[in-house]
Amino acid sequence: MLKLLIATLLAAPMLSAQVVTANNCVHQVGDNPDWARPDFDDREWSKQIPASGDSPYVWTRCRVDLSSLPPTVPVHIGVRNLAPWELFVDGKLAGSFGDIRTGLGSTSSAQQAVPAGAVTGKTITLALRQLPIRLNRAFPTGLAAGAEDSLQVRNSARVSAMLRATWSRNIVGAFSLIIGVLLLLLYAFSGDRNRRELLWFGLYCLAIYSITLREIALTLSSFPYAISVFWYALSVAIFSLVSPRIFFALSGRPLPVFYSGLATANAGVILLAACVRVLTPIHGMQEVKPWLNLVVDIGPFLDLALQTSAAAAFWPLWRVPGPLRLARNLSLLVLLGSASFNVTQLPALGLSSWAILGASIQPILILAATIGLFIVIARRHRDVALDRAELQGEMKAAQEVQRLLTSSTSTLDAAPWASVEVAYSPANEVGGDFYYCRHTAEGQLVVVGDVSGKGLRAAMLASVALGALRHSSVSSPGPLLEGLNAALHGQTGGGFVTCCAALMRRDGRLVVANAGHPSPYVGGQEFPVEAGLPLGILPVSAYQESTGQGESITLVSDGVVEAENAQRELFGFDRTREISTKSAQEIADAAKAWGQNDDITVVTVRRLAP
Amino acid sequence: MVTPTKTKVEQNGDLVVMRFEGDITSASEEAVLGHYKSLAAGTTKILLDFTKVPYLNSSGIALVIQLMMAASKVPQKVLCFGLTPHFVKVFTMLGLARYTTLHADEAAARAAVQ
Repeated sequence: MLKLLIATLLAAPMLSAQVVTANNCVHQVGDNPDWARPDFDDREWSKQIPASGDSPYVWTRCRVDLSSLPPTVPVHIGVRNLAPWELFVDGKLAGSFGDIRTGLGSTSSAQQAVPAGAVTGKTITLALRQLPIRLNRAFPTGLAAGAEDSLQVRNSARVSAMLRATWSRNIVGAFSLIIGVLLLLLYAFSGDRNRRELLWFGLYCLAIYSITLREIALTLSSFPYAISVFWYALSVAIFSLVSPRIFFALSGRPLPVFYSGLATANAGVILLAACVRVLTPIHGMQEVKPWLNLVVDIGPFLDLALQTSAAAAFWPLWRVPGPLRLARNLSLLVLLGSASFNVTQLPALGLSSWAILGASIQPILILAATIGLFIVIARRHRDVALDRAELQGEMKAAQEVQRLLTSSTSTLDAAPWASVEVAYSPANEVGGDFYYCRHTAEGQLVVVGDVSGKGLRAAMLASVALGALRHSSVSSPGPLLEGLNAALHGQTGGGFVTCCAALMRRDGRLVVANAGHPSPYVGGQEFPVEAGLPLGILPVSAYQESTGQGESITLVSDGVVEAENAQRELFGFDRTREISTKSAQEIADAAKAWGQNDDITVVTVRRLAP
Repeated sequence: MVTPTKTKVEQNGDLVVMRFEGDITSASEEAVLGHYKSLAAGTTKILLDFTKVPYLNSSGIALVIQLMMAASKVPQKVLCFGLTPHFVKVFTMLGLARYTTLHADEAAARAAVQ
């Protein structure tokens, strides 16, 4: 491309004299093969491109004086038109582009050069048959005659001039691409799906880039009409869908149904209009075109209304640190100003001075707003990441405190005649399960508890329960639970604590009390215990003691029986019972392999041989 | 994957059937307690339908217990039906006999409430 531009600049002065531009063309709606004839009388034809008519076809006729061209050079005709066309030179078909019957072939705004054939006179008559019915409006026709290489150089000069004239729009496109990709990468790798503003603003930027890219692609190349239409429609639909979402996401508010409904309806209508534009036969387009134009006319107003109301309503709620407030306010103002220029671009308003001003200023406004919003969002992202790192540090510290609490010797005080094994696996950084083992004069006491809920709140309540257990001198399970219930009542915040306490005497006699916890297992069987209310519900609760005999006892938390696999099947009481004679770690591992979704605690106490 | 709780309330005189659907978890406060609080005055019997509840975690059970305790203060009679065998056992272990009774299906619960 660069080489072509350099060649163009060097060769342009030399070759420009070898091209004649077709001026003084006239136009007529309709379709008549006679209009190709060089002697046809076109004096009644319009000098302006007609807006519409009964026929989907429009003819353009021009007379071109070739006397200034060198006589030895074969003449080519350069044609530039978005609509499909057929070109007649002095009544003979010289070339065509796109599908003139359906309008669904290739489309491009780039110049196509066709050989003019044998030219006999100094003046030739060009007749261009076009099918602009599928376009929003007729595209101005560019016709020129000259040597093929001269036409190419001329076209390259035009492309280069066009790129220069739209530099601001192209820069916006490039920035939008970079910012959009950066935002989507941030969203993908942040690991936080709640940071929707990154997603919405990333898509918003890519939609802007996509619209710009399509315009450039149409100028430089050609592609099927349907792709051109859906490319634009999809970009605009995404733009419409995400733009109000950005403001709600930035203010941390859910998108109201009204907004999402309106934006979705707008996007749906845009896509539906694209389908109609592509699928309707050309002879039916006359009927649907007013409706398609209505969509084109209403869309900018709807986009502006959605963006303005969403931004205005949530502007004050979008919290940013002091230094960034100016960037926030300016970027929003600029964005809304830019959106308001959409309205001035309406075909119905014609090329007003406001439209010209809008077309030149809008890209700069979009660029300023995009960069401003990106800075604020990136800064916010960094702040959130810092907060999260700090929180993770605190959670690590809490995890360490809990580990020290649960693994200290005062928590795992085993009798010399007993072997105590513990497997403890919280579902999160910290857990709501707790266990406590104490060697008392009456025997080996073991307690396993589970605070309802998970996370830091449950972990703190578990620590309260552990503290109460440590300060209790009671070793009889029933009274122990009653004391623990009194200590926890009023501190559970609507939750509760299930707990099972067991005392194994040296001779293997067992005393068990239960407060809503899964029953323990003795000798591979569930140990029958009296049901009791979980701790912390009532100020006073009584817990019945059940007695039995066993060489070992296994206590588990509900994280074992309620481990859940991918098919949502629970590990269950039966499987737990079947493996209850295994080691604590094996039982915990089996539950984790099934699918951990809660804290898992297993404690086994075995009486050692005397 | 936890499915959100939906609650359908059927009022028939002083009898209300609260039909839950989905998992009951800490996110089900509105579905459980919110709907309970909005019951008409004069309700004396409440049937809790767990037929379409595959899973209740401990926070969800805590919500159901809060409902039962609030009902016991009115007083209102609370009966549960449709629990899976696993959760029948869990509810039994929780010692909720003074707050509720457990029944296999709606017919058994309706028969018991009369």
